[in-house]
Amino acid sequence: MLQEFRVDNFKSLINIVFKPQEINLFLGKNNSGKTNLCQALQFVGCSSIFPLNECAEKVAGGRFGMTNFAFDKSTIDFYIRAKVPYEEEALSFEYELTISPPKDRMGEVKVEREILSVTGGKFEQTILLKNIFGRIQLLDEKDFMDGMENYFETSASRDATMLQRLYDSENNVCVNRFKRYLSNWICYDLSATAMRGSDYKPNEVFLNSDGSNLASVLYWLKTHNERDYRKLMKVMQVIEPKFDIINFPVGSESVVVMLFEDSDGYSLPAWNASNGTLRFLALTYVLLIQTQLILDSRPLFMIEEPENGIYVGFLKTLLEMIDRSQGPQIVFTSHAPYFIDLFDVYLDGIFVLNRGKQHTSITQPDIDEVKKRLEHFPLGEQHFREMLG
Amino acid sequence: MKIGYYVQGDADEAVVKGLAKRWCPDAELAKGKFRGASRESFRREIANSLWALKYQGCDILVVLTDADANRWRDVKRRESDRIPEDCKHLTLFGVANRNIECWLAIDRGALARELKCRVEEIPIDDPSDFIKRHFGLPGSNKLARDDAKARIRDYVAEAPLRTWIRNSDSFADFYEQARRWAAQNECSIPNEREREG
Repeated sequence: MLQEFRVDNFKSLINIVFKPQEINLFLGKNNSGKTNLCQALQFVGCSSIFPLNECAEKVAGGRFGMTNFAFDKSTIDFYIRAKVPYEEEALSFEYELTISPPKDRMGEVKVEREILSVTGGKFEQTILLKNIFGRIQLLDEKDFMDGMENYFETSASRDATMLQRLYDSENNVCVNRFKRYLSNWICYDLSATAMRGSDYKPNEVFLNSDGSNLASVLYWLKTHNERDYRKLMKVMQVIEPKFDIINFPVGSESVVVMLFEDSDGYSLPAWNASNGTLRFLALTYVLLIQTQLILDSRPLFMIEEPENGIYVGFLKTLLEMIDRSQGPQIVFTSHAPYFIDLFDVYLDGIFVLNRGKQHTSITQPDIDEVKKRLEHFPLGEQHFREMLG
Repeated sequence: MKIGYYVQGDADEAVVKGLAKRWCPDAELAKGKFRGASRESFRREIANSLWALKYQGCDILVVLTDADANRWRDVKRRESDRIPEDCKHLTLFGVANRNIECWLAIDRGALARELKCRVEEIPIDDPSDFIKRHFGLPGSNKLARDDAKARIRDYVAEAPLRTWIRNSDSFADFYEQARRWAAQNECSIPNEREREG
């Protein structure tokens, strides 16, 4: 579970410290920096899987312009402190990453500094990985367990993190444990058009951040896990009581078509379903099913404006799906008062972002004050009236 | 000092800002919001908005509304009931006889000079549309509207309030509330009845 995230000089974010709870909500006006903070989190997660240039393109809208335009600093710093379960205990990781984005559009994003340390078990603030300008030291964990502190030294090009380059080996089990945790951070900004896509991606179980492989993951679920598939259908009956089954008529190898069928036998192709229905289906999959597939690490999911297109009366159902004891850690962003109202039980996870002249600030409202005001104002109303900070 | 205000229209807001500029130029202003856009929604949410402004730390709360076709005293009596008990001692509740533009037109000569028109051109029944048009309020251009609001604010800041008080019961009532609040809070609002101009 992420305990602290710091970012400096990423877009509007200057020296931002974010200490999340299990369920979190980012509030703020347009252009306040909510999406930038989600992107910063997503960028670090992405850097454990892809080279940095690719992460910049996928997450940050390009490699140029990643730094704050008004801040005279050429590097971007990220810091993560997270507890990750490992066998019977939780290891406490600290990960620092400094990158230098290019000064022009043709340049590359490079690693300047990358350090991963761990505490827990036999480890006491032990450096597992150190990468300074491509010169790398990697702890031999197998030797360490036998009482020897040996570092394997090597060098690598700076276009990717060392974490990204690592493969599973018995010599660096903990590093890979952290890598796996980080690689499961996903930011969802669902697109109704993308969710109607029918390109077949076999054996996909993780929903893409835009929802573009929704048909593929549901097809996988129906053919591999009938029990969870029925569970998903049951929840969908909240919004459509006659919703009964999703059929996938056999198509070509590259196409998977979704047909929603109700209990009277009427069919509705996915491209005719409403945006809200598809979004509810996708979010239900993410919150109810996908989280079970990565139970071992409690990943971080960021979900941007989940309320879009969904009837306000159904929003509570979405939140109720989250398993607080072992589900993912979640960051929502929202502008919708009725959705925000539901967070009056998660007050410690509310973060208000404000855009100053050149950068974003992040604050948490005074919980006692907010609670007092709840007698008069639901939380969404407090946000509307700018009483949260 | 922080002044919270709850008004519906641009002209009402400009009047509050003009009076604030005149009486408390250093005050911070906070605007109360309401959900909905109708006069009904505005009135429904008086209590919530005043509470919200009070929570924001406002020292004084100003509500301005129009009587429209009703008698302003009846409107004031009826709508005052919506002010929460714990906000009553902080609240100035102004009801303009007919509408706020009628306050701006109390001294027709001064208004005519401001608008660079003849006094006879200002309608004597309901000058609302005429005044809004001449200040440049209608329209969707936000910058132009902001300019118009600033112009009304500056007009009110320099307006002949002695005439306003003498000729309008509804404005005099609002002014007396302000004077009373100032006296109780060791704050000074000039005696406009004796002020020259």
